[in-house]
Amino acid sequence: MITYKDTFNLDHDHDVDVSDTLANALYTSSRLNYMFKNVESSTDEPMNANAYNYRTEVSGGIEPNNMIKDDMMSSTVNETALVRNSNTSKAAGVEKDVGYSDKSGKTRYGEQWKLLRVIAGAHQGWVRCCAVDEITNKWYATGSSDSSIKIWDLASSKTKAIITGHIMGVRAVKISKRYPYLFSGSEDKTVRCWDLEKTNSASGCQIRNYHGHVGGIYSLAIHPELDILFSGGRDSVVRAWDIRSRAQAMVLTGHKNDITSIESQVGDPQVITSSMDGTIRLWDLRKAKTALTITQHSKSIRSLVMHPEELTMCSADTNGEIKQWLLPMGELLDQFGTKAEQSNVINTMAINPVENVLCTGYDDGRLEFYDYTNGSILQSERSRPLPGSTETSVNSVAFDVSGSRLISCESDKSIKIWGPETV
Amino acid sequence: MFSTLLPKPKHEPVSGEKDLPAVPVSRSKTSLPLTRIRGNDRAVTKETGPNDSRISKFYLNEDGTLNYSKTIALAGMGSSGSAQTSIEDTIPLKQRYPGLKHYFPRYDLETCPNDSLQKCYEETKAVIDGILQRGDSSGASDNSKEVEYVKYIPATVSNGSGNEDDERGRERYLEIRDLKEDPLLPSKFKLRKNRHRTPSPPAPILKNPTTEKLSKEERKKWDIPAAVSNWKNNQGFTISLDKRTMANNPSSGPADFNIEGFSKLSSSLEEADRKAREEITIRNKMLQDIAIREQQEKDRRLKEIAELTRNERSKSKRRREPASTSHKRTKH
Repeated sequence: MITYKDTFNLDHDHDVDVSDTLANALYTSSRLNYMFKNVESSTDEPMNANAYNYRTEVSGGIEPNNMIKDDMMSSTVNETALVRNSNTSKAAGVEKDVGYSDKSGKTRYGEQWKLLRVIAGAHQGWVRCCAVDEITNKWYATGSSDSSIKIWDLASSKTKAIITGHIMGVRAVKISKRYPYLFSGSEDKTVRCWDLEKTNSASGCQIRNYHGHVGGIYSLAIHPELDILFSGGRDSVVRAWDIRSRAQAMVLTGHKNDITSIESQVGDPQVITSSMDGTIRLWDLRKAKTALTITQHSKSIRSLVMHPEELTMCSADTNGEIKQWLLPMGELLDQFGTKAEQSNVINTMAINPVENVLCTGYDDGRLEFYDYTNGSILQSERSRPLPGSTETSVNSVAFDVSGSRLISCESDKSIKIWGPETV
Repeated sequence: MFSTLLPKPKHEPVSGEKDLPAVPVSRSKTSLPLTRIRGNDRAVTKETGPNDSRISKFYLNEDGTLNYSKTIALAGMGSSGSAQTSIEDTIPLKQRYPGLKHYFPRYDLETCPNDSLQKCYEETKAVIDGILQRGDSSGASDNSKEVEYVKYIPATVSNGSGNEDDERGRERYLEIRDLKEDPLLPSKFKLRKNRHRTPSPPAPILKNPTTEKLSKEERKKWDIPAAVSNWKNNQGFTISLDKRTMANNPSSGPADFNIEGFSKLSSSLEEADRKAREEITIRNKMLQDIAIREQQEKDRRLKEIAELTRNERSKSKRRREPASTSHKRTKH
């Protein structure tokens, strides 16, 4: 078994290949863990199927409350011990507010997230967005207000490519899982598609652009199965593009203010959007209509993330409130969040599926880590501005696939890389 | 029997249709309740005719009364829509069911136990392919669209003066063609938010209204001072010092320097300056006096010396003079 400490040290030696294989090993081990988790839980397979039926029948118009109650009953009967355990742990977490007492057996490492590396001056402007390549887990892309996109090696933190072409700040980048394409949305109202295999060519690597938005683009999403790209932003509509033909397939209208994030999945609310008007909309893509409008946030929502392996999602507003939703029907699952005295504006969130940790990045440079399953705060960290800037805000955070690194893009023009450190 | 001849009673004893609450219920009475949907809420569907309103489904509460909020919120949504209308929706599931186990796995096409995802995927694909193909065909027809002629017989002529009858029945042909626009011209439309009309009805709002009023300090916090440039002041206005400091260092808040102290300082500086000048003038005068006196002293002494020397010279002359005169005398 490879311990975590090894990767940590190796990473500091800039030994690219070895650490990369280690990262791969970690990733595969995490996958195995997930599979084992599934095997363990296969004892309650009927409940599983139940949950799934509920979800499929819901689309047929059935009120889901009964089914949920059934689930609840079965779970309470089967796992009373476990449930009680989690309850007490939650209470302890609330009382102590430190968070590490309640980590008993929950995560693999009893760790705190520490700042490992700072790429100072990574861009010439605010670093606005980042995306990790989920296929290789070897590189990530960042977009910045200096209208450039950079591609970085995850292990060595060296620039692999600089992509220029946008004429205003880049607000969203997305890496396709099926093609070697990078999509970027910018304040210059264009969505562009870059072929990463051509980054060295003299003629540039842009292969397509998607024309039609009348405002800056703040968020992108790719449908996991269909060749459709969703983009939304300042003009408060979501547009669905056919990736190949560049044709606009759909316009999803309904939001009353800027669209801040878009998520897409195969199942029934195929598109979920959050907006500055404080609402979340779940869309029925087949009819291009809103299936549900969630109006429970009291301020504008800057971030909405879907859990990569669960049918849940989280949204955070500028009041510092985080709400967790159960997906097919958009029921409120949990709500949590911390209140600071001055600013509670949450800019961004990311979910680490390996350890089920939710990371939130605040506008005043705070980073907070929550336990995703029970909403208790694990750690509160503050990112210090680099010399040359008086304050910093976390614009975007992303976990790598192995869940062992956190990349935060900040407005002191730097990229900071955080990792867990064994206590 | 003859009651129809009597006038209508003032106070109707039995409430008729008039007193039934609002439109939808009376309509549901007239139309037939068709289907019943399983679950907590019963729903009554009505077949929608061409002239019907958009409410096609009535949701009933447990006790059989109409659930207004749900009915209105779901009007025009069809079967796919749903809405959160009750206070229960705002209570988190984990609070309502404290024993809820957090296990909600998501499936993709390969791992899904039944074919629902596959069905969803195929339906969506079909819909989008259809849209894209239609879009292609319409684009092609747009390009190939040519002049169209329409036959037109006016029924009336509005501005006819004398020959109305001739004009009325005359057949005309209208030529319809698209106006070509220069694609390079700047767009006529500006970006306006909410270009697209929001679909009605609005979703029910499940949050507290913002009732708290801003206090004076909070309002002050939002007050942004006017920009003051260090480089440009085209009109040449005088910019007061507090504005300047406010603009240069907004974090310090309102200017906290002491204007009274400043005036005191400047007045005392002025005073000191005046005093210094006075002293300097006095000292200069004194120096001048001293210099003048010294000069006078010098002059006096010079005069004295000159007097002295003159006296001495005259004395010595006198002493020598008698001898010379005697000598002269002897010579002559």
